[in-house]
Amino acid sequence: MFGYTYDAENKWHRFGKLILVTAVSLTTLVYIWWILAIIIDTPAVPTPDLVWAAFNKLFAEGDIQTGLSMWEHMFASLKRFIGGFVLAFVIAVPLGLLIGYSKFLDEFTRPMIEFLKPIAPIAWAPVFIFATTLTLGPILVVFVGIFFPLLYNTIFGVKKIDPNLIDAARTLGANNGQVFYKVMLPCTTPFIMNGMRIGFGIGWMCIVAAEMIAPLGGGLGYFISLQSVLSNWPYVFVGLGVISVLGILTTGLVDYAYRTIAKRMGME
Amino acid sequence: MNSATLTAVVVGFMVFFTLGTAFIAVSDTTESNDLDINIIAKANINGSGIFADRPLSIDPKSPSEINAWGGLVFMTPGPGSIQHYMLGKFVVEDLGLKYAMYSTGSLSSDTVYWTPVAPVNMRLVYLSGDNVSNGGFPWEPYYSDIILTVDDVYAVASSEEIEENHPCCMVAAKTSFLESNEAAVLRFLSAYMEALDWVNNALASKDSENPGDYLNLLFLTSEFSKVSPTTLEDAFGTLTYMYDLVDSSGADSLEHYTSNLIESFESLGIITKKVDDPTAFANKFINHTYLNKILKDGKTEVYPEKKVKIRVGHLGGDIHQIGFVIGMKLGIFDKYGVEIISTLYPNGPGVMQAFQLGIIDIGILGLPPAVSNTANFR
Repeated sequence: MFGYTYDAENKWHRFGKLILVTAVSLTTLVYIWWILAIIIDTPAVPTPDLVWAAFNKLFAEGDIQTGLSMWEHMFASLKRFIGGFVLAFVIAVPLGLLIGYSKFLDEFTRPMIEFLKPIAPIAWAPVFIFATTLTLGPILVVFVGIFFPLLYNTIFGVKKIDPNLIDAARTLGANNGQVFYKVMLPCTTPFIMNGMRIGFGIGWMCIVAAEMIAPLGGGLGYFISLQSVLSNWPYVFVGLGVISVLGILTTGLVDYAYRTIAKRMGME
Repeated sequence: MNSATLTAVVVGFMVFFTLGTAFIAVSDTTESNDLDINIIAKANINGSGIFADRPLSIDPKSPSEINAWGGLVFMTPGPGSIQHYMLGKFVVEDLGLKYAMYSTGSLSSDTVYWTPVAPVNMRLVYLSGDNVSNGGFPWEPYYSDIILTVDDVYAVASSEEIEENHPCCMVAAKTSFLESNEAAVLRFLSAYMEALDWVNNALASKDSENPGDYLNLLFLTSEFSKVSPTTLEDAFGTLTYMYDLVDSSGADSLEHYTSNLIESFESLGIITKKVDDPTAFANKFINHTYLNKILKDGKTEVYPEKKVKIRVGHLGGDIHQIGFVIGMKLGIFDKYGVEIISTLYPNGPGVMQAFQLGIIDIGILGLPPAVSNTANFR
């Protein structure tokens, strides 16, 4: 058609296709949203033109009610998100490696983990926030959201290590520490990255829920909550869009790191 | 994908976008001027207070008394609440300072900061180790609760001292419900007025020889709010219960207050859909028809047998709305043939969202969330 032949081996053709498909996909989404907004006919589902006007106003003038710019709201949320992630990472990864390595620890901690795991991280929000502080509480909510996927994937990664690799390392004279750092840690890295990928998605859900309860210094969750209670629905949709973009960027970053590491380690 | 399939896909998209564009272009998406709700009676005036970790003056006589407010952080129920609005107005107009949301970092001495916390949680947050707030502006009974139970806390002012007889909670009704259920609305209001009269008589009997009704009021209110009777005794002192939309004390008319509120909310970005004529909006929003009819013709007859069902949303634990709760507990609504299906909400915006969802007919909530949500939800 149109005298054009798509070549899957040509990277420019692949790139062009990606751009075209993305553009058509997003345009279709906007059209469906617009048509539904007209059919549903409620201020709670504003049309895209109203949301676009609100977007321009918010990024030009900031959020007048709180006096914060949208960048400040984003920064406040990102700070909490990164705090929760760092905390989860420094606890879940070493713990997962130990649990995966030690049969006793695995058996001992399994009932605890199984008991705590089904509790939705969002359900912890009021407990953490009012049991600690408005500053630490939301970070802990994100921590819980990222912690379990990271822990599970790390444990799984250790268990998937080929025992022959460990035996070979020991035969070559490696002690326990060297086996841990030179075999287990590198072999579990792709699994840790996978845990991060899953955890990041959950982390963004948690930050929104936590900020609806503890909005110290703003944040996107608070922004959305505030605008919804004031019935400023176009602003709510701007907040949702910004969270979506931040989510795509952060998980995209982990995804990229995951693919790079997995490729280097011969997993892809 | 072969050429024929690709052609079909491209044509499909072109048809979709063409029809979609045509549909969007011909659709009428202009804002409606119809109001979703109307205010039909008051619930109370006054009934909130400012507390702080240090003594502060609301009538500063010297620069040092004004400066004492600078750099302090106060918890408020958030933009759109009467407490937030009043604190901001006081800070800007009376103190000449700025009013800004608290964000972590250094605090400026020319600004009073606010941070949003639900009144029910203010005590907990104030006592937490965060050191993020120097005080707060909750509604009753949380104000009295904090004053009576937290050490080293100062009662800065009641909201009445900041703005005498300011409006607070209102009885609002869905406009469509009002228009098609006049008899039910009159029955509801008759019962509500009787309940509020009972509350005011009970409060007046406090120091009488027979304070039975007062003790009963304390018991019923404590049961509903889970706040101790001792705290409630203090809390009742800052509240005035009234249903009349016309304040005989000479305070600003509710219409005028509402009109000013709309203009302030527009400048603060709380109302984002421009109200072309705030006075006309306020006059339409405050609906005297039903209350005036009862005041003129008397309460409706009692209809114990013929019941109408009315779905009512109100706030959990909020003693501003105790008249309605007492009406249910004492069976006054039953007496007028009204079966109440009540639902509790955490705040006024929650009640407004219930209105928008069409799951309540009548709601009791603060004036500011009623005004801002009605203006924005058009």
